[in-house]
Amino acid sequence: MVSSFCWGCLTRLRPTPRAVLPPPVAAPRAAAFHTSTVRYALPTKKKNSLDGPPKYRQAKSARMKKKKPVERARPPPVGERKALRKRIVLSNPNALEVEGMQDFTSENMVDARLRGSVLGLPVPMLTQLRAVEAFKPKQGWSIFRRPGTVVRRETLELGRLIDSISNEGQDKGKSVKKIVTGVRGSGKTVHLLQAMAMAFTKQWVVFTVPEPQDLVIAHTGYAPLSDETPNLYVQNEATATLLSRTVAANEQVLKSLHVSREHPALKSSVKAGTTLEELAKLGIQDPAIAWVVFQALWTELTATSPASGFDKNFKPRPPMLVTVDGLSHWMKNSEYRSAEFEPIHAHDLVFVRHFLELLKPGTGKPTLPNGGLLLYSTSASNNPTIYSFEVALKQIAARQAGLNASAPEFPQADPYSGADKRVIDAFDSSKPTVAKEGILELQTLGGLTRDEARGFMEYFARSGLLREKISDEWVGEKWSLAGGGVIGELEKLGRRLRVTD
Amino acid sequence: MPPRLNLFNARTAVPVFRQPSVKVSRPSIATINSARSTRHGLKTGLTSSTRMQQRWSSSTSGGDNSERPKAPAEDSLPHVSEEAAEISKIMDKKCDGTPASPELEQGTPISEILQRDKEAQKHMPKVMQDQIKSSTGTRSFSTFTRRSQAELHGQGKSFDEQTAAVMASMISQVNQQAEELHDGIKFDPVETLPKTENFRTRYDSLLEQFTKLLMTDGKLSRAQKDMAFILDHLRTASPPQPNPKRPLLPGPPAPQLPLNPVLYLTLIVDSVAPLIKIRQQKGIAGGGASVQIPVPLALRQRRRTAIKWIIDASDKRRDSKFAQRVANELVSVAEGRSGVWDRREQQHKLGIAGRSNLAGARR
Amino acid sequence: MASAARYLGRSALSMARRGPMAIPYRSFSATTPSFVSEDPPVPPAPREPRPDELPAMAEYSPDLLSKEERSMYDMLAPEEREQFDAENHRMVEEFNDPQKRAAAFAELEKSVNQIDKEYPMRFEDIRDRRVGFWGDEEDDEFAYVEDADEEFNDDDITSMAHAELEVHREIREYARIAAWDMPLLSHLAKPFTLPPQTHILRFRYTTYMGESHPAENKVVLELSTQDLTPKYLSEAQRQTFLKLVGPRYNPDTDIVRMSCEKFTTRAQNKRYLVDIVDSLVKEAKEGDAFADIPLDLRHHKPKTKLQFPDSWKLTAERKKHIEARRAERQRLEKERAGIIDGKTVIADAARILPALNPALKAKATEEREKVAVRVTGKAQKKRLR
Repeated sequence: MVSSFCWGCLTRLRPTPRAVLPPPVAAPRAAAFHTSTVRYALPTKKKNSLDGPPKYRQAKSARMKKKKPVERARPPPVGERKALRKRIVLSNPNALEVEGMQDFTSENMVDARLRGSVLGLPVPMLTQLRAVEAFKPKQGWSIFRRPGTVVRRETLELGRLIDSISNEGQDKGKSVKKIVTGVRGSGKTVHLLQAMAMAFTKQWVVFTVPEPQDLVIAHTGYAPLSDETPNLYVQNEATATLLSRTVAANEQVLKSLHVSREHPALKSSVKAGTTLEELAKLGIQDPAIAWVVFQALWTELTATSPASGFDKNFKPRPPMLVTVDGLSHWMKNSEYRSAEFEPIHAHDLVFVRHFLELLKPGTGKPTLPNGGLLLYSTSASNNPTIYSFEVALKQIAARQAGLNASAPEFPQADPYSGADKRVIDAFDSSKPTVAKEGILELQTLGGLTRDEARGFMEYFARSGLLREKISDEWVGEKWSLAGGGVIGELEKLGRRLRVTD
Repeated sequence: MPPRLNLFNARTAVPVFRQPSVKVSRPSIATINSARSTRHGLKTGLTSSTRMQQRWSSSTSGGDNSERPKAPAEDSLPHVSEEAAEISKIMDKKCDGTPASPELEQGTPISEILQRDKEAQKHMPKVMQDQIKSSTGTRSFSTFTRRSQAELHGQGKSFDEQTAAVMASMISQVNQQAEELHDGIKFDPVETLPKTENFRTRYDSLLEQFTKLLMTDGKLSRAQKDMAFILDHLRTASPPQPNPKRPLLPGPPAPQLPLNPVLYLTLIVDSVAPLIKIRQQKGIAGGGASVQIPVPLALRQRRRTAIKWIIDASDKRRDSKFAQRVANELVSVAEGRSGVWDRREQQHKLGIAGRSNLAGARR
Repeated sequence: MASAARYLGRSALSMARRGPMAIPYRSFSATTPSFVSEDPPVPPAPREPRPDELPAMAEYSPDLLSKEERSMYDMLAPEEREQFDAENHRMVEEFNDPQKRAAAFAELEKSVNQIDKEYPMRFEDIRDRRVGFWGDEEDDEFAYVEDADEEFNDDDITSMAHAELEVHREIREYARIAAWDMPLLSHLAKPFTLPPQTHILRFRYTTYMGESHPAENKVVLELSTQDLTPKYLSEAQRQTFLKLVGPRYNPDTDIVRMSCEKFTTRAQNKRYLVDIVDSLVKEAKEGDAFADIPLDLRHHKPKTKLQFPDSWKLTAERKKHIEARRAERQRLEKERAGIIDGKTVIADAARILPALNPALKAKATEEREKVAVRVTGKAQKKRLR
């Protein structure tokens, strides 16, 4: 629609000077084209009510009172919530003490008669286990009188293995490498815990990485290792915490061992009589040299004979247990960035690289020359899905079954899936050449047997937590409900409270 | 440990305890309160396993009618006039059949009149004549509207032997037929499962109610997590030091409570549950003034109020976690330190003060 | 801003009050006004000729008659012909005489007027009935049945009944076919024989039962690559072949499937497909082997059919096994010394442990006090002595 005024006409209309017109505020806002009488009308009285102008389009009936959120004075202090989340309670004084419960000792850890019963962790060992962070917050230790674990088939096997490695015999000084997998709640972490407990009873040295995720989420400092290797990165704080864990847990053992060779990187502070504990503490005190100290400590612990001049008080080194809980975080790019702002692969962190290279068979001598056990477990909760890692695990299983890598049935990564070559290579260990070294194995944890499940549920009942009659029928029902005896599910069923009775 | 009195069982099994002189540790309101909670709380206490519950079927051996359980509507006391007749019999020793007072005449049974009056016997109804002839003292039919003993005891003693035998044969026949009919059933029929075995009602009713009241924004799973935390806290926290002024409902002794967290929670909630709510009503007193009227609450309503109060009171705590706040509040209720107790007393005080307004409300 | 608008509005109002302004030209158009030329004038309709202006008719002769009339005329008897000729002569004469013609036309005019008078022409506009708001008197459209008879004379069955009867006839016809003709089809049956080894291609055609359809000419070819291997291709060449066919390969069934609807006839399409297969085989043999490229199966999503394991099937043997196991378990259960009951465990603990039982604790303290009293009593005695 075209206006009937022409644009020229409109522009020719000049605005009236402001002074001539009455101030716009004085005139009440009435119809714009009406100028005469309104001006002289009396100004309307302002309503002097508290409510203000009447509100239309609002409910006038009684309104629901909304509850205001309570204002707390200030948010909880920094770290309190995290501390609450990470708190580990190992005892419930209200629970009943289980009569006749045995402790882990070096004798009964190979006793097959104890299968299905719950063995308590010795109280003095608890500080050691706490130091290596063997307990996780959500494992339900807090409802029992004292921590204990079920002896299942795998536990007995593990006990026999550890026993044979440390005792005199043909298997003495053997090094065994295992990757522990299993469905969620199948007891992988507790399996590692049992291994640590056994290692502590046998006076082994225990190295643990309880949270591999912490190393790759860019929460600790990192730096290039050296000028020669600009692609490798060292995490000094993380190494220092590893050292402090190790020292706190293995204080007795490390105190009895002495330095056996020169350490050129640490020449001033390490002398012939230094114990390994003192050596490790150097790294804790000064995180800048933590990585060097860790390497020195590792060479000391893997030494089989002293260098010349150091053989005064050389003692043979004990076997070692190395555990990592939750491997798959190490199988992808970390959150760290290089100087070019490229993501750094987790295998480029020397810390991670060190522990992953232990999986490879050693050249000349075993990776753990004094014997020991590598137990790396996967995790099924808070777990990145990494295709190449899955393939690598399948390959390990196939190799364990005796398949040759060139066989057509040998599982291979899909060439179009973009699998990470480094990950597959990390687990691609050929047959070890050294006699005392085992092939990399894959151990899959399943459910408990019915008898083991029964022992576990009886433990609940005898602790006064489960008001049920632990009959065979009842156990069978719960065993089936728990997906065939998956111990995490059994634990949930045992502690779930439904009724007063 | 002294045997504890279970009111619920006592009422059904031992009629001696039904005398009004039964003493309960908490007077007045608490009596009702405890009687209610025994249904789920006490029965399940630690003592219950040692005590044998007497069942109705166990009382058939004596054949004594006094052992017979009473239906709720059946009054143990005789009718007023019959009672008066008894008294007069005892007092006056006058059993010649002449009524002592006119009002007793109304209560005289027809059979007595007929006994006295030979003339009337000739014209009495045929049913009664038959009754006298058979002279067994029982009828073959019942005029009771109430459920007869036959249903409670299976086969009543009051039946004469013949009828009983006929009945028994009939029952066995029917059973046999049923067996023949259900030839295909392989296993014995399962006895009815308890209510909590159904997956929809798997939790205790209080537990479920508490969980749903913890829920915000429809996040039930989160509420259940909170509930699990609370129960774990009750299980692991040190047993409550009961305040003698504000005791929990009778139950197992305090040190044993953490072993049964659900019972613990039930006792806490039921102990602070108010019996009444106060309704503000306008227009009774006139002039637009509102009047406070006490209204009795049902069990579920009482619990809801108590849980709401506990959750409200927990808001003032300083702990960072909601479940932790509620758990701490629950423990402080158990120890009598919580403000919820004051709130309950206040509510009851208002209710007592407002009793007189009830008359106005009814109008 | 608002006040500015008001100023404008006000001045516009005053302008409007001044009265209608004569606008000399269309302000918003720059082109000169141009007019479309008018339609050519419609010539007036030609006047109807008056009777005296009409041309005279030609003299009658039988030769002037048209062909049909002529044949009719030939068939007439001679007397009748004479009569016909005379009549026609008379008519032509009458027409050619101007006075008689005028009289005849006047007569005609008169009779037409007469008709007009007798039957006056009136245009009565029939008003459509006004339907009320609710449309009560409206005819129900849906009440009309298509083949409802308008009127029924009781001399036949209704047309609906006829239709019903027709359906019956049809059914009977097919029943007859099924009963008499279909058994004869078995004579045409041929025993099934497996296609011979040489026939490794399988074609699929589609018929739409006589209807025309755009996909009628489509042909689908399927072949299993395993059939190619020994005879036509080696194993390595087969891999090349699979790489060439790309997403047409289904690794689960090992079948390559391709189709063609490029051409208008089936035969052409089929020919094309066969040619393609030939060229693929040739290319697989002779062309680039693509050995460095892995076989790409990303197009195929393998379907996992979840099935219960075979060991779960309840055979008689397994039943026995299960029963034996159950019996064994029950036996063990009976042999077992103590079945642990959580309730009794707690009840026992409550009876024994003083920590759980205040009564026990009270008793213990009482005894301790007694002993203490005794001891102190003795001591006092001693002191007394």
